[in-house]
Amino acid sequence: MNDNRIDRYLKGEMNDEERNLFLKEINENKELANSVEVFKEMQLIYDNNDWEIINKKHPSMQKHIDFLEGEKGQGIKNVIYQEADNYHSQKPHKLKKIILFAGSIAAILIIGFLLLYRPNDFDANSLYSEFSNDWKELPSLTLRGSDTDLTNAEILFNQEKYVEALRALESLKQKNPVKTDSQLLMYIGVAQLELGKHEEAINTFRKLLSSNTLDAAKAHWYLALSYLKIDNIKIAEQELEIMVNDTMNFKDEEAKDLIDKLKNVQR
Amino acid sequence: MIKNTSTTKNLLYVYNMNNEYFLQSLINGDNKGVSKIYKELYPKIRGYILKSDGSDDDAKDIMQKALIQLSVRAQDPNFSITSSFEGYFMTICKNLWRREIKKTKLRVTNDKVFDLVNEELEIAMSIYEQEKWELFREKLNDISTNCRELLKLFFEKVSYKKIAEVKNYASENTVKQRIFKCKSKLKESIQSDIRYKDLKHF
Repeated sequence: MNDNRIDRYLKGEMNDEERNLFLKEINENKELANSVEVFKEMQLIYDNNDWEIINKKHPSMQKHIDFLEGEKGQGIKNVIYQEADNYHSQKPHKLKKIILFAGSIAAILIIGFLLLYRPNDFDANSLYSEFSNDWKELPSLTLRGSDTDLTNAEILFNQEKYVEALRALESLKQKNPVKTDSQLLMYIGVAQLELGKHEEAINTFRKLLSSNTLDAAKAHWYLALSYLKIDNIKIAEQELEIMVNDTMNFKDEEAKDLIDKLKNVQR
Repeated sequence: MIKNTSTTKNLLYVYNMNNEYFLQSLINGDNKGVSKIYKELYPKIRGYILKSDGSDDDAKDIMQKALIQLSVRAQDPNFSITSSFEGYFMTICKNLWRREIKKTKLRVTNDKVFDLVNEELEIAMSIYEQEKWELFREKLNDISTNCRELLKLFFEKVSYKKIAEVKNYASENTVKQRIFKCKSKLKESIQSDIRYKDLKHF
């Protein structure tokens, strides 16, 4: 009886030979394939530890993809990311609160100071180009041993072949999806940013930010540049101010400089 | 969208207003509403994920994915939530977490090779899976209570012998036959649903 065999197949009770025969049969018999699928789904309703992941694109998915890629979908995603950011940054520790408070006073003083000067003529995008500065600060991946894949990815990146670089970097990341590799994340994020995949870049840098690594705080700099690139000066500034006020010294001078210039742009 | 209730029951009314407000905020991408959802629901989602062996980062990730997923689905004018927003949202998060765990397992055991998919396709896939799961859940209500109980025991891998004892059946064979009938009924009910035809695998 098919039902019995499906049970045994789903419970993993078949031996290799039986299993292969059964799989072959599933391939040829649509009705059987259908039953297996339905029973598998039934099982999932009761099994809280399992999930059936689809591994192909179904025609019904296209409308969702179109929506997400469209203007409204992008807008909604942005709102969700922003509110996530706001929510998670709202609960700093007491010490951090004091530093933030002091930081905002410093920022007010800087603004006051800037009011004395007339702004220059420039826009957010040229600031992005100026401050991204060929990504010279990124740590070399090749220093980490003789992994040729890493070396190749870095070479592609340095040659500004970002499409190929991104592909190589992502497949490297895929090799070890559980462990967060902060340096890979930085490279991936920058490549995405350079390719105009702003949403994905912001996402990558957020992952970096929430990673439990020494590089996590650097994410603020890259988030600032990302928001700068999409002309969201307000959030770019927020990110920079967090940098200036945290205990890390990474790019602090640049951040201060950029804050100053952004204040001018907004005037 | 959310089924409304009598205005005389004030509490319920306010409660439903909140449901409606949350859903509308996701449909329109309203900052204030999304921020309120975070304040009200994130601590609960985080609690669940941490309890289920996840990390803070996992909780953040699941929350974002669930919000995007629900926003996309709710764009369809036929979409509605018949339970509370909170309960429904929690279910989405739980399922997304099951999905993440399964993904990690598959990668570790290399059972399946996953193509690198972009974020949009990933969300579309999770929507497809969630819709199918909901259909199955709903269809369970079409079969008798006894059948539901039997299937529950069966899928929880309780032995036929034990089921016969618990449910007072004469023999293991009777249990087997019963379960077979229940499964067939459920299968029939699922396959006759028009939505199933849309979700059917290729």
